[in-house]
Amino acid sequence: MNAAAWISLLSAVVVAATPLLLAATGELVCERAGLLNLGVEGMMAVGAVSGFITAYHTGSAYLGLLAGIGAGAACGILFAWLTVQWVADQVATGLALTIFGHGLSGFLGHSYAGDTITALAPLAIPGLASIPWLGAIFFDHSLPVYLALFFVFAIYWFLYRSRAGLTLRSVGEDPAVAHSLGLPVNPTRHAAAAFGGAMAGFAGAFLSTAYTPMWAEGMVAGQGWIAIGLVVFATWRPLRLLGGAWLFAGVGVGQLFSQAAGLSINTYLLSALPYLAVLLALVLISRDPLRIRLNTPASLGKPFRAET
Amino acid sequence: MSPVLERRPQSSTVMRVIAPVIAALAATLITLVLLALSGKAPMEGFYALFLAPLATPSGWAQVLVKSAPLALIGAGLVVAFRARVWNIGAQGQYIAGAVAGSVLVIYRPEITGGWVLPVILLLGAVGGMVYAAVPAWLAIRFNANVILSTLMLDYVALAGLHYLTFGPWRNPANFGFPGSVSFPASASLPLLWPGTQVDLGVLLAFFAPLLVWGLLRFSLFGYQVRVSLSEAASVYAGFSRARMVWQSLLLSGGLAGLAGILQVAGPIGQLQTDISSDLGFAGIIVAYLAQLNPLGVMPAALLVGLFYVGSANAQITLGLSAALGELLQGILLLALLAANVLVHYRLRWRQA
Amino acid sequence: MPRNMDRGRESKLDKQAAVGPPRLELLGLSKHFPGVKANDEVSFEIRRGEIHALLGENGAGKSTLLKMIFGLLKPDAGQIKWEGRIIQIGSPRHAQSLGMGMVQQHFALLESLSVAENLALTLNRRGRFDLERIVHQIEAAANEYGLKVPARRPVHHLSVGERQRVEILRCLLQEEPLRLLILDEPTSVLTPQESKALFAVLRNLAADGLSILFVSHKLEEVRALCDRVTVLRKGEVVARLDSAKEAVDELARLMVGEAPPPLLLSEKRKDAGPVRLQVEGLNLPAADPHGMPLRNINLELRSGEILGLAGVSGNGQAELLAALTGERRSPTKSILIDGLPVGYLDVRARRRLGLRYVPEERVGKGVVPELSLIDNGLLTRWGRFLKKGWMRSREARESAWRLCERHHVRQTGVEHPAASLSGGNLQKFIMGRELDEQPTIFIAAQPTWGVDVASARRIQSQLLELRARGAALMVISDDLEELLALSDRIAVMSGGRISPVRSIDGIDRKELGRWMGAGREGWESLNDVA
Repeated sequence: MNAAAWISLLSAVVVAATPLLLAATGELVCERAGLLNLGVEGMMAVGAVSGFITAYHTGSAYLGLLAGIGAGAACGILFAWLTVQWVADQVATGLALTIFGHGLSGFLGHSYAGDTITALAPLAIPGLASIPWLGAIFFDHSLPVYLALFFVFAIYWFLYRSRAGLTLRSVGEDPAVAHSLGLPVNPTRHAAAAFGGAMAGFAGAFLSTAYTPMWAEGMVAGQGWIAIGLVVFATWRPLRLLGGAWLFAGVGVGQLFSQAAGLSINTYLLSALPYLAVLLALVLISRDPLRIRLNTPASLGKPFRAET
Repeated sequence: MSPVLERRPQSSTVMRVIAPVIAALAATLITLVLLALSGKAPMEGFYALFLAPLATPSGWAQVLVKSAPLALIGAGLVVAFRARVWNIGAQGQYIAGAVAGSVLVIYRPEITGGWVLPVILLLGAVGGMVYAAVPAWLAIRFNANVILSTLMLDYVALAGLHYLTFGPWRNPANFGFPGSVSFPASASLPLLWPGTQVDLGVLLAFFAPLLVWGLLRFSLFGYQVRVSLSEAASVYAGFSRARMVWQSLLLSGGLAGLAGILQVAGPIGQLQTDISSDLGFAGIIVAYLAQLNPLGVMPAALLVGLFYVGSANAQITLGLSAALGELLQGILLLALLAANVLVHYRLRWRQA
Repeated sequence: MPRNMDRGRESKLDKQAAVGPPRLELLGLSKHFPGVKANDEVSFEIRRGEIHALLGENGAGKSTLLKMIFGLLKPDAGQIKWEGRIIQIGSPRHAQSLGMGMVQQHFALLESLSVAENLALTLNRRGRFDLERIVHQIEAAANEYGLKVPARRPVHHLSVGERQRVEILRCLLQEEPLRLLILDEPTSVLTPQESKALFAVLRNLAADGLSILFVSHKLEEVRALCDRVTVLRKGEVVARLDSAKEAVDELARLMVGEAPPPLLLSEKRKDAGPVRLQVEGLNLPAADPHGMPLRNINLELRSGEILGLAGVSGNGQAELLAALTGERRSPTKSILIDGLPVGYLDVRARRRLGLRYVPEERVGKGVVPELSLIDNGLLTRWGRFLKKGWMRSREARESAWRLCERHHVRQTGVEHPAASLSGGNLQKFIMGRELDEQPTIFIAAQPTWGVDVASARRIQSQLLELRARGAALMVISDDLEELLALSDRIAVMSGGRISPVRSIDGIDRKELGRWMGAGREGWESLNDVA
């Protein structure tokens, strides 16, 4: 493969990693507050359909992104309301939201199949975009791609250098202790879930307004689940999300490229590769039970009710 | 005055039984609202979705046929979820069973003999078990999260199915369309209700919840599942968590695999790219709707089966989206989870 | 009593003479709950610079009183005066804004965060988030009050004594200058050395004018540390005394009401029989980051003998129990039952060899709370109720009934969940289930913790009975009095190691105390008398 093909490939990886990064960053914040949100896949679908429909009717892909963010946030708040206020089981509720989101998006998007919109335009960063190699790979993309990278660092700063992040980590480790210290446990969890949902919605809207500007049922194709796996793979540390996202996106993109390059491996078998990659990555990272136990937010998945 | 949730001293059996009913009613109501909001006539939609299938014998037959695999999968998942083994891979295990059971027919399309059908069904169950053994092994050996590994394997199985039905197992006589040869008579399930698709598989499927009930109530395995409510007590009792993970995954995987081959050897008649593998997720709904009680699996499966048939009907008669069925299921489960909180808590009004 | 303590007290009394209104005054405070009078007309006062003890047994009403003082509960009757003014304390925040601080029994610390981050959660809530400033504040306070803590280290690396210091620092560094420090049973988790260090800090603080409310049920400490003591019994104040002048026995009598019933010891201890369980050079790494590695454990359990294992919880007792019972595998030859190497055997296999045990955690391990008593009765002996893989439910039910009858377990029906049993009855149930299987080796962890006196006596008698029948027993407990009463031989567990085992006759309490404080590194510093 020549240089141009490599640049093309790496650039595609950066773009493909964007929905994974966005959704995973949101899920990481959510899980750090102790909430296991398995509804990411459904929330992405809801974001995708809202984004597309809004973009279709308003002509603005940016408005579509905002709509996706809003729809995702609403789903996140619903999740928080069910699991934090109304102490429903987190695992089951997340699964229910995935099924619900998937079904709702299919229902709403039914009449939009086959329609097209103007995709989100790439925004080349002046100056940086003309750096040879790096410019094309990193600095000539649409806004969400930059935002995905930005959020990773922003969340890192938030978690480790801000009071609100400290509060969030405390709530995620031991909500009973946090409560006894006067910290706002439930509002923190609500906010974390809303953020997680918003980011998932953002990721979905990116898919339908920029990545493949169309709506099709099943277009999320398991990327929500991959994002959840990504959080585990990164052992709940924001900066590690980058490596994992590029890895998984790389496998997915690489599969397409290999077909273009004429490698004659069956397309269907290749399409299983991203999921196998996630599986392998999970196995490798989970092998050391000590490491997982050390890094998992201690109250993940457990309900909390303040004794009044 | 504001409402406050207060823990009940003892969980309410009454709520446990009526929560699914509340959930069903809520789901129906919300669906009607959604229909109205999207510009369709709600009452027509209600009829098409919930009543039309039950109005004719053939409608009933369709519901039975659709509920059968749900009952099998749901029964298996009840066991797994009770043991806190979150098997989200029923979809993949279903496909694996369908594929494994089809091997014989693919390589010997003209095969005959009374032994063929039982062997195929057995292969299907074993196929599901083998596919479920993978996440079990990964969980025990590598501490891999069961939810994520079973999910990833769902997608892998789907890819595998597409590969086989578009590729090496494609029937050349299909004019380029994907799909295997049709199952010969020796490999097809005998019909129990002529004129419909209700076959032996439906009968088998409805026995499964009863067998699971007996297993959980009277066997040592069932006792182990009960004790697994508390991890520390399971250790104290000398039960191995690893064995519990293996046994529950193999059991639920085997039942899902059986469901898969029963569909292929029955109503579908060949191995296709689309063999209703989304039944795997619907099986999760059935297990929860049954309140994780095997005796509840049958009514739950029938209800979800009704939703399936109804939404297919609504798609044809009213042009509604096929995703409506899935949406209904999602609302149903959400409503159930909300209602279930009232099993352990009650609502009190307190002075703010 | 050491002389320096007398001197300290005299100077404080001088200080107290020259002050105004008392810091805290409780006048006729009462609190009722349905069916229970938690506090009844409680009145006492705490002066400036005074270390005041609140003495009482478990259930005397101390924690309810504390909750009222700290704003967690509202009194039904009575008044609280703070520095002469009548006030209503609406919330812990309010109490803190007045200058009160409380260190509870269970620390409100987050393990994965550093000391500074933990304190940052409650200090300087308004204003910019500045971790460095907190670190400086911690170091300054450490120097001023002698409370050294490593400010940047994650809490899970800290010892219990260090964690308590963090909690005290939290109170000292709070926005409103601390005027009253409340300590709820502070020494229950400390070794004797750590307690001594704590007392020194407390005396320093009191000398500067800080009032301290020291809640405890340990008589010796109260006498050693405190100026005055208020004794609570069954929710009422039964005495207000100058602690130095009272004898321990008098305080005990006031606290409990009458002398505790003597332990009915069976007849004179016979000589111990053959060794049933032997541990030789057991080394086991910690199972998880918060655990304790076991180092060179050697011990023997002999027929007809009770070996008591003393020591503050968290020093490896849980790990040792896991290794002995088979919950955790060990090197094969390190554990021998009747001469047989069993280190690799699991729990079931060791049960078959006659080893049974009662764990420390009752709800959630000893029984599954949601399951019926029938199901729980089978928990550790389900093998006997099997017929070809199927459970014999009728036999299981009858067996559960008989168990409850024989061991006086008060219940509302064996089909009811185990969660419906009270603490004492639950422990009787669990003990009964294990003892009915005629174990030859028996290990009990914290057998009477939190259990009412009558049930506790019964359980202790059962242990002695088992000993009389020739079983080899080990009792793990952090209640030294209990161990001294029950054991034939005694050892101390500290820092993952076991002290030399001593016969109970002529045991030197001070030596036991020293071993308890040896910790991880101090072992070599002690003069081990063979």
